[in-house]
Amino acid sequence: MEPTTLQMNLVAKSLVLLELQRGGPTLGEDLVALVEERCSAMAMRRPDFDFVQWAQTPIWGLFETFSESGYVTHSGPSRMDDHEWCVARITITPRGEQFLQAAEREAGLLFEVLSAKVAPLAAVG
Amino acid sequence: MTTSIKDTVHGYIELDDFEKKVVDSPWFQRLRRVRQNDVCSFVYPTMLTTRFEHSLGAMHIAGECLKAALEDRTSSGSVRGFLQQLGAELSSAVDVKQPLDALALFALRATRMYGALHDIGHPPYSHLIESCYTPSDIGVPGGVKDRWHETNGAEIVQSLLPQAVAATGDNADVLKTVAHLSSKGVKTPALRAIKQLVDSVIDADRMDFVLRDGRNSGSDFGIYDLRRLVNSFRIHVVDVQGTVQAVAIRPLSTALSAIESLIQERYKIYRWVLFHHRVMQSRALMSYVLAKTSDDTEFDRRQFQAKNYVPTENPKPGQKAYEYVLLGDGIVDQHLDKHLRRLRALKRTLSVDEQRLLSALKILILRDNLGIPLWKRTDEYNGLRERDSFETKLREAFQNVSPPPPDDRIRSKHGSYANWVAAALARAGHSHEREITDAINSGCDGTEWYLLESPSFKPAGDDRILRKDGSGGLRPDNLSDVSSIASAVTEARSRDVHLFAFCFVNAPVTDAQAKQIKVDGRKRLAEVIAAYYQNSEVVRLDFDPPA
Repeated sequence: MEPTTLQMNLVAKSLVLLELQRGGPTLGEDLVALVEERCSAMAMRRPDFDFVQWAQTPIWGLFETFSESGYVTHSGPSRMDDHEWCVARITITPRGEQFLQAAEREAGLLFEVLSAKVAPLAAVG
Repeated sequence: MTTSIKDTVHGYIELDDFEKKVVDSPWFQRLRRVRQNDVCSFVYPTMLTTRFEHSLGAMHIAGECLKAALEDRTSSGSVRGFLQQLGAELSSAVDVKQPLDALALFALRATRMYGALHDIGHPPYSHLIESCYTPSDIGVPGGVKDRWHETNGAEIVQSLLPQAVAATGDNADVLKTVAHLSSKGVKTPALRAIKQLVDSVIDADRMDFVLRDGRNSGSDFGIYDLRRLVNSFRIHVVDVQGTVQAVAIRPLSTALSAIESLIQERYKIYRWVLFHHRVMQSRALMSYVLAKTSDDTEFDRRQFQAKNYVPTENPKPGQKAYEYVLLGDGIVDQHLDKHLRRLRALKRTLSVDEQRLLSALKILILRDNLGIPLWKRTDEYNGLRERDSFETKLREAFQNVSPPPPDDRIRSKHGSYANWVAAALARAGHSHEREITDAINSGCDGTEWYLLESPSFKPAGDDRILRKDGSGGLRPDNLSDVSSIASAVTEARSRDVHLFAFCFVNAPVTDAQAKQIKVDGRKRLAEVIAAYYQNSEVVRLDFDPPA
């Protein structure tokens, strides 16, 4: 069955939050690099995967959404541009963790694809 | 040698030889065929601003702002500090001359060129087309930081344009600097300050389009004192023990009246023109038609990839680039026209999908009155407090859900249920919007429903302006802390209805039928949204962020 746009959106968001969950507080530019790396691997497994399309925004918009939704906290000012996100330290919150758990339940098989691709990357690393 | 171009807003815009060469290139000339405001002219017939004239205007204003800041005699220390810092930032990338007057000239040229090229990658119908096709649809690499018009723009500025104009020496360095300014995350203070002249809130981009779109819309919006604002730009350098920490090139608070007018007028243009309910309806219908005709192989989506216009088998600079000029709004218009003709020529009974597509095309092209908005403006929405209104239906629909939505917070924070829903859609990156639209339409026959949220728009943002301190120096302040008008406009925007909903029907209906369709539509929409909220934990998280 084809995934819904909501499920695709959940996976794109989860991809970023999972990096934060694994790595702890992370500088924005380091997080972008990690997400880029993960997206490349993800695209090999799912040729239709496109981060901006699935997230419906470039990563800066997602950072803003996470901040407004209380999924992350950051060390920068209240509203930030892309540069300020790059130099801010971003931390996932308990609410962000709660989102990840809910997303995993609701994205179903699509989320499993995301989880499955972590292992080979870790092995390479 | 300069060339003057007559402009409706700025009088004459002067170009030096290299700027003329860039403007004459196919990459820039294409912008003549791309409208600044996609479908706005469907509703406001004179709203035909092109990205060509706007780009020239942004170039002109960006240069004037920097020139005013550089020429101010009272802040010569800051000017020197900025130029020295700029020289240090540029030295590793380009071959700049170190005397300060040469650096000032280079900064002016790069700033003007950045203003000119800031929209160079926009496809026909700009963001509207971009939201319909993925990077893989058009054949550009997907990324996480950019939309594909930015990927196209970067390709043009970094590679295609320098080849086409055979840029060498200083000219090549100007384009190289513009390519850097166009990228995300410009980190160094002097270049970041230049970037903000074109890309912030009080910037050359907005200063131009507010005047231009206000005038072209035929409304009386868009008037503010441009000259006063431009002349107020100053340079402020924060230097700690000889190291430059930050540079700001921002307007002075002495021009606050002009700044406030700019913000107010921009808000009016968005509220009454860009977010007009029929403009929003046209945008949704265009997206619908493009999605429903996506299997039409004659409409090659790879044509939107800028790189395609220089053949790889014979990479002679500029070759075949002229064809890129043809990639304007007309390409999309022809596609729509073709499908209108095709469907009207079919002799058999149309399928439900074909009938819906035909209705959408009739509204867009023939202006048939087949669209029915659930509400038009904020005042109308606010008037819908009587029985059977959307607001009432939403409240009723949510009464039985568990857990109950935070009614008091919805009232205090969003003003209305509609804005609460719209805010949730925005946080969800519009995915919920599509899901809800699909859910409304499942089971409906003959009537197609659409739900859409007006694009994110922060009237005043968190831009900064400069104030004189007691000792004659300057200090940056948040605009919202200085201007009560800026805060009021932000507040007014938050009270507007951000949610648009409409349907389109296959044949004209009577007023009484239209009224019944609205009542039924509001009820169905309320039920679908409530069910959506109830059935998904992640949806509830998005609908109810922490205070």
